[in-house]
Amino acid sequence: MLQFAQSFLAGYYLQIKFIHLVFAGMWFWSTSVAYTYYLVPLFRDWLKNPEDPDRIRLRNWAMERFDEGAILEHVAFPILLITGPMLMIAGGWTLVSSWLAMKLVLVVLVFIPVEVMDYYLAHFSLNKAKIRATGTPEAYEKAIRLHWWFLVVSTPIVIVVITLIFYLAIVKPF
Amino acid sequence: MNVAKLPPAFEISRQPFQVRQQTIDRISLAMSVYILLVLYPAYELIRWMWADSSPSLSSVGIALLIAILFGLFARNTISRYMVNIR
Repeated sequence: MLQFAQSFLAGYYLQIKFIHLVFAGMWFWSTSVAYTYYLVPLFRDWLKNPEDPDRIRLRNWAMERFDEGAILEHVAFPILLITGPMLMIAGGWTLVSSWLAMKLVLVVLVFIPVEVMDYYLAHFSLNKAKIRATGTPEAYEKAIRLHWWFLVVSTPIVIVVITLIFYLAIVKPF
Repeated sequence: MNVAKLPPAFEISRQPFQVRQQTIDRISLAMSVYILLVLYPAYELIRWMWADSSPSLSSVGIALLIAILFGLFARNTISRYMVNIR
């Protein structure tokens, strides 16, 4: 079965690699401008002036738009999870390669948990626009603050680990 | 931008968002521990299973160094983003 898959996919290795790289870029960078230049400045502004209603409204708007903007990232991630193993099979890569072993550990034990939480916060029961529609300000505020915590805590992870994943995949250093 | 279309500001949102430095320190420490006790052993386990390779003292040292440096970076980054640290 694996041999059949390998012989079938091997002819499309570069095409699969192209799709994988395009979606890796989309996953990594699609929210970076919105986060760095909209969400973070508006949140920091609100943190300094928590009682200002205009700043609260802008903060809420930015977070609701960010929930929508994360759709690109969250479409890209499952495609990476599909094309990654396809590349592994097509290229005949095994976990004997240390770079691949490390990449696998980082994806499975860092990014899958992070993304599960991110899907939950942005699209499912903690989607801010949906909570606002239910008319529960307490739940809305709690979701906004939890999402801010999540984003801030995941920032160093994203900066270091995604850069490392790109390095491992491209340079294959060991 | 049509300001009237912005989401409303709820009264509860006016409560200040306070963060303790101790909380940030604990989160950063937890990240370092996760690298050292989860990520690194998982990597070595795969290497042992697939490449019959066992961990060396230098690789443990590198993992420890990375865990410490990452913890410090995380602490610094989170502290910068959370303005109202007590």
